Amino acid sequence: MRRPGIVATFAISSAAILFVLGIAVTAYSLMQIRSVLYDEAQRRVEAQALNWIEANTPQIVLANADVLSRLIADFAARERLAYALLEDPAGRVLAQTTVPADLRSESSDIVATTARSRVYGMMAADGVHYLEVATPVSASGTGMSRDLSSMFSIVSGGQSLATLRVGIDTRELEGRLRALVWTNAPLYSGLVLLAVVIQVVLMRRLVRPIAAIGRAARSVAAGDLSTAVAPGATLENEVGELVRNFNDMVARLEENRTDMQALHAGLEHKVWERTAQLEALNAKLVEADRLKSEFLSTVSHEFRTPLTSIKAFAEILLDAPPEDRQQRQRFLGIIDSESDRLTRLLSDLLDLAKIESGFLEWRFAEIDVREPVQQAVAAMMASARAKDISLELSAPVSCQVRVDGDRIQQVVNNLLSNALKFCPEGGRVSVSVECFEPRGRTCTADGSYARVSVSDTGSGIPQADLPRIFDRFFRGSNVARGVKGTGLGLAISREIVLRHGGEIWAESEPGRGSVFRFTVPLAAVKDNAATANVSEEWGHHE
Amino acid sequence: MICDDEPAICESVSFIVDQEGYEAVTAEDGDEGLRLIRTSAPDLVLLDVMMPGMTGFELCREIKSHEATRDIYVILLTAAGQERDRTDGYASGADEYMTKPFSPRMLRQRLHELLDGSP
Repeated sequence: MRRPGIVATFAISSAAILFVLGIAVTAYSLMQIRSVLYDEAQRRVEAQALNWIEANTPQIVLANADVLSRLIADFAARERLAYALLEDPAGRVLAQTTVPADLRSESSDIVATTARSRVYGMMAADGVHYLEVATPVSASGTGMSRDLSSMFSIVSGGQSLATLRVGIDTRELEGRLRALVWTNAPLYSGLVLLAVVIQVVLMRRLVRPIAAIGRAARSVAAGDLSTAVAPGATLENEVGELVRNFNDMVARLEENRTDMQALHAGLEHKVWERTAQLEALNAKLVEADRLKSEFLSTVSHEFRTPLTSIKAFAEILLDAPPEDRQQRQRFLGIIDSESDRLTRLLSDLLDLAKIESGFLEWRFAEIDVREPVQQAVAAMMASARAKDISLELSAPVSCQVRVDGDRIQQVVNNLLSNALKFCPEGGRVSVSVECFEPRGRTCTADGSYARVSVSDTGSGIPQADLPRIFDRFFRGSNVARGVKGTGLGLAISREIVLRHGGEIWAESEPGRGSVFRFTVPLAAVKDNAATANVSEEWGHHE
Repeated sequence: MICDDEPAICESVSFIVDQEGYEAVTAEDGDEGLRLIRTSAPDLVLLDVMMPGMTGFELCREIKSHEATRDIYVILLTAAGQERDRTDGYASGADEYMTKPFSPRMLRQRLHELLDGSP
């Protein structure tokens, strides 16, 4: 069951309060009015009784019963009294109208005492209440005296001739009271109804915004933050304040939610970004892993090949050596050279691993780049002569570089031995050292470098192979059979040059030989600083 | 026939084959090997797997897929000794699979098994 709303509750409670209040006020008013009515009635009757006594005192003194009976009946009829009787001080009735049966006093108390009379409440046998005013008839000469003290002195002095008792039927008074209630009750009820209606109207004006807030709160809870409460927003009271505050709160919530959504979207985007980064990284790692296993399998192959020859010839020599001594010598020679090949392969692999893992100790020093180049060329002279190859060095200018001389010599060595390997007999291998300085003067600017080139008159390298020749174990497609090498020389050279901050590359036109070049930055820093200091000093002198 | 891009291995294997009383021819790569097989019709082919150009697997498959050359015995010689390579080797139809470095004694044994039907 739905409980009554605020308006109904207030209306019911007000109605109840007003009703109870009405009953109480009515009861009180009736009591007051009643006492006034009774009071007025007894005064009126007393006045009539006094008038009658004044007018008929002689007759009373004469005590003519017949006359008195007629007079008292006229009096009662004229004044519409319930009854009237005249009795002497001894209580004997001198004259009377019809008196209700079994009339007796309700209590011995006197209800009230007026100026000259006593008032009693009487009740008859039929239950009807009467108000009786007993007025003494004084025995003063004229009976006209209205002097209160003389009046009571007469009464107390026993000179009272008789007492006139006059009864008023209270039903008439009560009827008037009831009539009063019946005329006022509808009026009062109407007023109560009007008050309740006014209250309901006023309450509804207050409750409507509250109900609207209730509905809005429900839709806010459901996630709709676009609704503002319209009713009551302009009210200049607490409810208006509540409505405005509620609307502000919803607007703030909306703002916060928008911010949160933006934040959320940003976060999602970030997560997406990071995931993409991680995926890219993972792909890189997977690729690195693949390259590593590929490298391992290649290394394994490279080791097994010379081992196979060594093993095969060694076993042949052990089990079934050839008769021919020269052939035996030849087999031993192959074992020897294949062992050398294994050793070279191992040391090259270790070199490469050391460089790549950063464990190699570099001994950088500022030297003329021509020194390691000259040493390498000198070391290769004999092999060049053996192949009838002319080996030339052109290094006209000194190039100060900060390098590990041994490593640079190793690079030149590799390039030279490759050149000699692929150069036909009677060919030419030339080495040149050049110094490139963009500013033309001393080694001052970035971008100045020394370049070492090794060119040969061999068969050249196919264009397609050029990008891959520095890869480990890469073997060119046109490399003649029997050309031996570890397949790591160029890879090691590249690592060394990169470590020096330089570049290495090859240029070739098939059939016209190839050129391998590498660069290392010039040792500019120290010279540069020195030059700068000098010019600064000059500046001061000037 | 021996097919290997490493001259020293070619030489050692052909010497062994020669010692066992068979005639040996050598090829330096897969393409040359295929030509030799077609011209000289050998009884048995010793194939290196990793060769420039046509690989040993490809050449083996080529031999085993043609009516004329199907009955030629194929021994694969390879530096790759992993289980997967061995499976690939048999999948390509090879009769025998030997990893480098191989033992000449084993090779002699296998030659006799395949060519004479007895150890």
